[in-house]
Amino acid sequence: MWKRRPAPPSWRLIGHSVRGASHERKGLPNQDAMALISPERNSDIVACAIADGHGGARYVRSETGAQFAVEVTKKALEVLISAVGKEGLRSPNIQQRIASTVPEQIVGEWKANVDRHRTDHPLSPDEGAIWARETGSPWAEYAAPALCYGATLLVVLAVRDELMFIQLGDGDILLVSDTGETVPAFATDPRHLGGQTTSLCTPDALAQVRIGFWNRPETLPALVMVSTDGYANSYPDEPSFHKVASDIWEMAAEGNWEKVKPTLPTWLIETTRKGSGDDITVALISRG
Amino acid sequence: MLMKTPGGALSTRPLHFIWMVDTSGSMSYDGKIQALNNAIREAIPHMQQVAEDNPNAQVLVRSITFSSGAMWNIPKPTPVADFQWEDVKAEGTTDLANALFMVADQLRMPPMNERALPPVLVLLSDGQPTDEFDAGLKALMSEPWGQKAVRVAIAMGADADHETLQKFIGNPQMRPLQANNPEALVRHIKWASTAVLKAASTPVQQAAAPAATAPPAPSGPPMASSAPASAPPMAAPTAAPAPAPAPQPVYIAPVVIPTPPVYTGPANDDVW
Repeated sequence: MWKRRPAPPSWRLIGHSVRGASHERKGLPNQDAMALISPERNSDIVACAIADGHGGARYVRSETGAQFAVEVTKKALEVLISAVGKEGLRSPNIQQRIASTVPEQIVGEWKANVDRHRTDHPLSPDEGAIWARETGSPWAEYAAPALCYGATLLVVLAVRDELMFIQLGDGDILLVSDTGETVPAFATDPRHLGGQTTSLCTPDALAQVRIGFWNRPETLPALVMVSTDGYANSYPDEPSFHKVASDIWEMAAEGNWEKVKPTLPTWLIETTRKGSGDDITVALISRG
Repeated sequence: MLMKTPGGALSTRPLHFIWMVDTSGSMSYDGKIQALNNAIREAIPHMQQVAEDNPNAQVLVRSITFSSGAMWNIPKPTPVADFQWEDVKAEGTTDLANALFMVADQLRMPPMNERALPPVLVLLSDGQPTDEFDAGLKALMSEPWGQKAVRVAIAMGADADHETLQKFIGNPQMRPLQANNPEALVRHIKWASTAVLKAASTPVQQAAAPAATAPPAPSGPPMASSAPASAPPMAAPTAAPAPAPAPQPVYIAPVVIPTPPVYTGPANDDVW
């Protein structure tokens, strides 16, 4: 069960991203992006941001949108870490302040980057033709130009025995207890079905951001697994997918953490090939 | 030491393809039902080819007929490689709603899986429903997979009820495909079972249209609250407090369906 144990001194963070098997067949790039803060070495503060560009034909710039998402998030996290790194995240006032500023900063900066990019790099005739074909309306008439940069975002920040999670869109943040039990950080969003997702690119993006904090140091997760939806979609059901996180926790518990990183690419390639065919990006945060 | 791939057994994503076939008495006129039997049979190898080209989707086909009542003539989701079409016969009324209720039942979760690809429903009809179509459509659309399904309709002959078929499609950018002769029917069925199938089996995300709804309630207790009664301790998500800009109306189809090709071959006489 979820038993009490002393607060951990440090975290270890690794991550990897692979191009989807179906993207390889179609000559498409990996449209996921990832940014890690303080990876690999034991650290009392680590963070990751993972974004998944939508990839559909109308999202002609979603690879760029995903890259912007992790870049602006990394910047926001670095500012946050310098502000709260010593004090931590536990105070309700701090949590409230973070909830009211960080998502707004990320969504606002992402939209600003997108606006700059589309001003500096107007849609090419080819991109415009794809857009018109897919949407049935000329680009110039469309009211939400950020749409073609569409991407989702998953964020985890670990500050000693405190955690923060942010999620906009599909994908998963799984938490594994000291005894290998796995639970999602957020409840399933029923709108994330059949490939549809909330997104940074919609006008109501900010209202769709979910943010949460781990407030119980005595039951701090031993492992956090963050992954784009291509990972979960490679399994027939939730238990089969959650077993990924608990199996990795078990490897770490048995002293095999150092072997996980070099093996991760092989696992992910096999998973996209035999599973969803989608890009897969995963970050693993393990208590040191 | 090699480490075993973590997790349960891997699986490709199921894609359910459902033929919804009008077998009312009027379908027996002018060889319509036989043309339909031939056209579906002819489409099968093309469907199999599309499925082979995308090994990450598991295409499962079945079929329901409706006349005086409705019945699954192929009830089991059948891997497309094994799919065979047995001729159906036409007699009776046009109880489309009955078929919609039965399809809605099958699109419920379970038996459907939330990790499936959007189902494809292809409706073929030559007339007007004789039962409560709106109630049947409501039942279908009350299921999340009914809403996400790619719905295609083929109107067979001049008497087909386009208004009903358009309501079934539910996408203002798509219209019912009109087939007034066997050749057009073959073309439309081939398009539905190849181009539409290919689009639905491609795993891409789509941004959900801006909605008035906020994210679902958090799974855990409120921030800094006491421990839950039975569930393991969870994160405490809170909604971002900033007000959202007003959503802009935009229709985003769950799957981007290619435009049907314009037929440029020799003209065929309308026979229906």
